[in-house]
Amino acid sequence: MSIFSRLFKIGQSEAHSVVNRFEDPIKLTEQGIRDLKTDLQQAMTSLAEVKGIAIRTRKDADNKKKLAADYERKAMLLLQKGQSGAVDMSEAERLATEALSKKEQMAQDAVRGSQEAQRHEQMANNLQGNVNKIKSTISTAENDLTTLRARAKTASSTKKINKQLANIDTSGTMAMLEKMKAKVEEDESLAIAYGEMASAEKSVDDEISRALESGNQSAATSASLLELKKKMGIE
Amino acid sequence: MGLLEFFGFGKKKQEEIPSLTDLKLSDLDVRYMVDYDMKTWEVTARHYYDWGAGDLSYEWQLKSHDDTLYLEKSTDDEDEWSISRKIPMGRLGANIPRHIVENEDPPDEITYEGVLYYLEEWAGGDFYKESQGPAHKMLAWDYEDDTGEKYLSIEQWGEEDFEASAGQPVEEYEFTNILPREPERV
Repeated sequence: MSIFSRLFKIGQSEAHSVVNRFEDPIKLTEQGIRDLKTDLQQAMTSLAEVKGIAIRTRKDADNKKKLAADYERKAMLLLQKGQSGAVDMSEAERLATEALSKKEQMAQDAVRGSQEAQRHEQMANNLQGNVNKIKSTISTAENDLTTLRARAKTASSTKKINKQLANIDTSGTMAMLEKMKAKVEEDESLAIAYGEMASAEKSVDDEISRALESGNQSAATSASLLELKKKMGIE
Repeated sequence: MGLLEFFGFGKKKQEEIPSLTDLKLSDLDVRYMVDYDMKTWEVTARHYYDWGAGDLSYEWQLKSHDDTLYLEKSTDDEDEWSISRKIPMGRLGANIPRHIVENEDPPDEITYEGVLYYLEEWAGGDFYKESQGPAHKMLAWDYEDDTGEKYLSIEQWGEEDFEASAGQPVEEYEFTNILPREPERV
């Protein structure tokens, strides 16, 4: 492979790695869940505000209702005082009319406030439904993510093991063993052959040496014997 | 999602977003909203009591449009929740404060609204209003009825300063739709 092809291959694999990283489904799901949580936070803040307004409006309406009842009670007291002469009757009636007018105003405000509170409560219910929906989606996504993470981990481990298995050249190893075996056998045969050759050569050499040595020996022995015989005066 | 956000710029880290999907009752804080007994309640205060030896109990004041109640969490092996409403001391009988002043303790049995309550325990502790010091010394006597389903409590805050409340145990699941809110900007 030329150097240019090799450089191209390296660049290609890096590019794939980057693309794979961008398309990592776990990272994308995590980001999706984060986005959903941001949405949820906003929805919950809005819902809390609406619920707060609903409580205040309902409280205001209740107070207005109480005030209306109070003005009516005051109007009655004024009339009673007018009747008993404690207050001038015409003045009592004027004040009672004012009180009744206030009572009417308060009663109307109470009705309006109550209707408004009802609208807010309805809106809060709708928003609560949406919030619950987002919560449920997040919960499902988080469960899916847990499963996805486990599956990805299993897949990665399986891939690793399979890759390791794939990388092991069983036939190559066996062939190598066979080759080694043949070589050992060859070496053994060779050793035997050398052994045989060595023993064969040895016997020839031995014979020659022996023949040569025996010749020399007998000659040496004969000379010594003659010398000894001569010394002893034996012929 | 913008390109910059995609590459991680200007993106909020995961831990910065509170866990909104599994908010627990003990997470309640001032201004939070919670649904209970078909009503929406706003948390208006959060206090705690220190009973000594690391024994703490927490109290949240909850207000709806027409009611105020106190949610309390105490831990005795496991979390125990209760709600209570303040009741006028006089409703327990005029002699209770006098009994405490004279005997340093209220009677062992009290009848309230036709129910007989028995003294269960009493303790002295420090009350931290709004979860902040300084601590207010106080004494508390807790009563229960036969069934253990009704509570009564008497608190002494000063020589002749008493408070009473009646309540019941509650379960955490009875409180739903907890909504967090930012603290009010002053």
